[in-house]
Amino acid sequence: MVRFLHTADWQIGMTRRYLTAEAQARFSAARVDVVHRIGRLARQQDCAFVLVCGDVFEHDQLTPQTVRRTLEALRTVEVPVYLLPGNHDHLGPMSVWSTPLMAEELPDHVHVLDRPGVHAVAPGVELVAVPWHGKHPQSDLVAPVLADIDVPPAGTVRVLAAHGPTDLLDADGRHRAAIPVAPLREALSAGRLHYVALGDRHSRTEVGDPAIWYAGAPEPTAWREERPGDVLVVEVDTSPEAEARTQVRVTPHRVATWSFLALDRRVDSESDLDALDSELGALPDKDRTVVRLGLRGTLGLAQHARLEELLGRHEDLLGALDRPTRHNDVVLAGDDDIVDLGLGGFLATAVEDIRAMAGGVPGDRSAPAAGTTEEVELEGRPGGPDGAAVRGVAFTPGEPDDAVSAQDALTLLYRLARGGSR
Amino acid sequence: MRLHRLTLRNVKGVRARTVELPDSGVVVLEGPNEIGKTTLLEAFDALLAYKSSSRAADVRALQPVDRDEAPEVEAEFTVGGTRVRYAKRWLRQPSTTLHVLGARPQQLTGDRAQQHVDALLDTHLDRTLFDALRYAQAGDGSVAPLVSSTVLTAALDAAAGARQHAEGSEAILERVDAEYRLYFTATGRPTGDYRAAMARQTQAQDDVAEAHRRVEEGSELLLRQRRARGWVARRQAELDEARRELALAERAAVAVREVTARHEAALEALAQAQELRAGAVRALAQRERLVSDERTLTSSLEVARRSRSADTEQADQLRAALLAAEEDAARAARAVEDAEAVEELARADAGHLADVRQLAESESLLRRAGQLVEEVRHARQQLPAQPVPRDVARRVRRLQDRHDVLVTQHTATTPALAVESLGADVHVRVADGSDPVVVVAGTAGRIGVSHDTTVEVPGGVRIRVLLPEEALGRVSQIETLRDQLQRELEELGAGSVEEVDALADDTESAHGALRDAVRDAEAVLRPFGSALAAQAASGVLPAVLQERVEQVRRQVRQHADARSAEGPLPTDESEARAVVESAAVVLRAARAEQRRTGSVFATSREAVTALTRRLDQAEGRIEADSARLGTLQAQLAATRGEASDAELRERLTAHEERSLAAGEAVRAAALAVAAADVDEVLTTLSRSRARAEVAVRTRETALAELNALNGQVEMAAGEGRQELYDLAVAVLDDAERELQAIDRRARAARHLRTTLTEHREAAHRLYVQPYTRAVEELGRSVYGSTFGVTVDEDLSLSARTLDGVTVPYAELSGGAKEQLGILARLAVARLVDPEHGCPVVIDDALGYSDPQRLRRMGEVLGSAAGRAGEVQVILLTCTPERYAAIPDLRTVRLTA
Repeated sequence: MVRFLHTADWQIGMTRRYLTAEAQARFSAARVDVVHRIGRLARQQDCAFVLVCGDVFEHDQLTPQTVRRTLEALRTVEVPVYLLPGNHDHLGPMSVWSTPLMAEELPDHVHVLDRPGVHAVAPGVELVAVPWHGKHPQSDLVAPVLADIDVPPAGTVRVLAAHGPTDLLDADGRHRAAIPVAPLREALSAGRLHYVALGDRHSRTEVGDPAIWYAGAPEPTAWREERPGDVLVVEVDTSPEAEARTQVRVTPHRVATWSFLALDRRVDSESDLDALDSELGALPDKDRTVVRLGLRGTLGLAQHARLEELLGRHEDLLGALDRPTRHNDVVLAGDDDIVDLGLGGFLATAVEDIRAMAGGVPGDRSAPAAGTTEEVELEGRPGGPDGAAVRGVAFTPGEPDDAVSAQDALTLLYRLARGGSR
Repeated sequence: MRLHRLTLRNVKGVRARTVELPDSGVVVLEGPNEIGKTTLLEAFDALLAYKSSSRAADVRALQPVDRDEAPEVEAEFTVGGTRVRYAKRWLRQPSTTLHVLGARPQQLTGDRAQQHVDALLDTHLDRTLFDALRYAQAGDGSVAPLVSSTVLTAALDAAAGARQHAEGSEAILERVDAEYRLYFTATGRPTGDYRAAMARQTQAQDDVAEAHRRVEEGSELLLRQRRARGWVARRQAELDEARRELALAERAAVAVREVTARHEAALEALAQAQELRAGAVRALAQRERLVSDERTLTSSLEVARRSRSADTEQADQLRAALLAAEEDAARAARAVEDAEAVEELARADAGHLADVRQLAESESLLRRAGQLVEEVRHARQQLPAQPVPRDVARRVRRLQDRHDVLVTQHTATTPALAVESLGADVHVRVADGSDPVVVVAGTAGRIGVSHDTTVEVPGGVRIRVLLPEEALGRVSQIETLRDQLQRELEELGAGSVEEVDALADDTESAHGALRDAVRDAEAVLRPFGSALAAQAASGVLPAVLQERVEQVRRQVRQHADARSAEGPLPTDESEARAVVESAAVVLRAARAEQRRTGSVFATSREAVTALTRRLDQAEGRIEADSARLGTLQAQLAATRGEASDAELRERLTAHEERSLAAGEAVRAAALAVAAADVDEVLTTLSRSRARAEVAVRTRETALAELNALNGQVEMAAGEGRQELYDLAVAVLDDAERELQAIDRRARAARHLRTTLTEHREAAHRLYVQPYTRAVEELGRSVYGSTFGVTVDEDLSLSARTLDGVTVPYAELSGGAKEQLGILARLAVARLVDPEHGCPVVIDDALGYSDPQRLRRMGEVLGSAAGRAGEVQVILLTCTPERYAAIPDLRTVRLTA
């Protein structure tokens, strides 16, 4: 029987566009801090080793500071650690694994599985590694490795460590290197393997077999992840008493400190605003919560001003408050608020002009134009290791008056006319 | 507002005064200068503006300068429909009192009173209007921009038929403007946080571009690295191929080298055999040479010994001949010595005889010389004591001649006196120093008058004959010449010229004799040298002549003494010479004999010496040859002991056979080498080797390039360029997020401000028309129907038009400005709602207006106030007649 900790997709060095500099720094630090927690958990759970199935790093060109902090965190892990190069941190040219810094400072108990095939890591334990040697392999990397192995000696536990999508989760066949699950199950049945540890998918996922798992990212990286933030403690028993197909036990443990939360709400009234305010106010760990907020509805000027005010308040507290345009459609309704102000004379005619220009555009325009690209979970973000993609069109300040400035002007007038200040 | 009554106590120069004002119409407050008209207004202002506790400068200014009294002001006025009596005392025991009059009277004091009034004023008093309707003393008449007067603008709204103005609009505009100025400067450029956010975005964009460039650079490095790897692989393949070729060529070369080596070995064996054969040849030749040498040396030694014995005999003979020759030579030498002695004596005798003859000659010469010297000495003594040279004698003679000529001339030209004494003696005295001539009585005489002459008859007559000037000059000349001649003669010691000539003759002859004597003496002694001759010429006989004679004499005596022992002397010199001749002949013969015998001796001695040397040489040679022969014979015996002559010959034969065999072997090996085509194989080898070297170098270069790139890639990878790029993008995102937020607010403020400002200006343009109409209506009663004004959007007057001529307000005369100012105020007062209006107060105006204008202004003032009846017009003046034209005028006289 062997017990070990299965994790993957640490993505150390990742940046997120919706994070402020301050939040980005904490977000980056959290990706290193989780390594400490993983180390403590491994010890508590009496794990023989930690297996990281790819994407330890977000990409292969990291600053020495990032690499050193990671290695320092690994140094505190008290059991051996096995790192598998994945698609983000593959073994290709400029690989982070082949830098002098790595050669000189990698702790002795940390091992990079940089060779495909069997690695005897302890008496009676073998890892079958399938490292990535480039960003875009043209075929399944697992098959040739699998073809080379036979049934291990009796009593030996054999774990496959691989990275990438599986054919079950890549129904449209986008990935040439997708790992077919059937041969894995066959190998498990034949006793050539006892557990398949996968990385790449940031959500903890069992893949068609109780012995085939994605561990998921220990700290979340995007909203669309379903169950991120866990690591798996895996127990494999090959003793003769163990039943053939019940020999694996997988237990998830939560280690994440950050969370990504996508909220889509309607706001048509003060009570809706109250509810939104309460909901945001009730969030735990606000400074480590990244909220993507989608609002739809119709608000008056005063309500809209209140919405802006309350969102500004929560934005100060949250890790990030992202409001993408496509998720937002708040319409300014009527002119009751302005009428209530009792503005007369030329002020009234000026308001008419401004309102005419404002037209019926949605009242919420907070999403940055540059932020329309959503992360693709498996492929990382644009500008990733494939080279720096050209960034979106830069924001140009001071554009001429338009519907947006007209809406804002009305809100401003409302505020100033009431003698109010923010 | 309406002012009903105003009471001042202890305010400035006013001790106590109460002024009652009618509710409407025109009232003139009249009083002389300094009476305190303006003080009334200032006091009312202070009452409204300052709390009783205030010690502001304006308040302190109210205190009388000459008394320590607290100023007090009380006013009764109506504002917003409420009539109040409001009083304050400042500085000492300050107090505030308010009486609200009317249906619900009320009395308040202190702060409550103050607050009540403040609330009333804030609500109902349009301060802009209140201030604007005051026409201050010494003002320029312009009206403060009235657009911020809500009362007026409300009136104008009504007049314009539209509601352009709303309460608080200006305040909102100010807030909008303040908001705008958070983001923009006055000229519309971004500022503050807005500008900082833009700068941050620009900086972040630059950083992203730089980080992107570095990432791209990294990708480029990777591409180059991949190419370099391919290049290295190709070079490696080339190198492998070159090495395969080289291995083949080297194997072929090994085979070729074996054939060549065999050829070289055969050549070496041949050389060895030939060397051994040469050795045998040399050994045999050496043996034969030894044998031959021994034989030759033995025979030549024999010949030498024989020659030596012959030479020994000849030597004995030659030595005997040498002795004889030696004796002959000695004899000849002795004969020469004898002949030389005889010859020497003969020569001495001949010399002696010559000396004798010379002695006689010398003695004779000495004597002759003595005579000549004596002659010289004598001639010298004969020279005159005072010699007179001939030229001197000639000069004296010339003086005498000139004197005589002059005298003759004088005598010829001077008259002569013929004196005949007829009775008495006549004394004639010529003034030439001569004695007077006396022609005694009865005589006559002729006397030349060469000088001035006095003819005197004592006691009778004296006649003076005076010479002419010319004759007198001649007389003086003659006397001078005579004196000169006399001095010359005295110097020469002569009495006359003739004597001088004789002296000159004597001198000449004595000198001639001396010259002759000297010439002779010199002629005799010249053979003995010019020195001796000169000595003799000076009259001294040289002693050396005597000494020479003495010397010769001593020689003669010595030889005679010495010769006496040798026999008789030859008789004379010729005999002596003959004896010398014969002795010389004998001497020559003896010397010839001596030379001959000497030659014979020398020849003989040379022959002996030569033979002796030859004998010595022959002896040495024989000795050396004998030793050599011994050595040779020993050597020969030794070598023969090693190998006999026959054995040597056999050995030679054997080596010659072996050489021939080795030669055969070499020829066979050479044929094999020729068959192997060595050159081709070796050329191929060196070509392959060169190609391999080139391939190695090329691969090294490619490797070096690759390594350099590997280093660069490694370095780039270590820098974390992707992460730095991601971070830069994150910073840019952050900067843009911030900028977008600020930009939204900035644009909103800009949009709002622009729109509001535009609308306000449009509204102001609407106000202008009713206000213009009101001013023009009033103005036309003063100026006539052509009067017009231009009103700005802020409702200030900017120009006046009269009779078609438009003049900017600033360029109007003081009087015209005043008139316009008052008209504008009246127009405003008429426009506004009387409920909210304020009194028109005109302090000391219209001083510059002409009487006609003044009258019309008065009518306008009256009608403005009177027609509607609601406008309170208060005029302060010291010259009330200005306002005489105002109908229904009420006057309040102020007195001290």
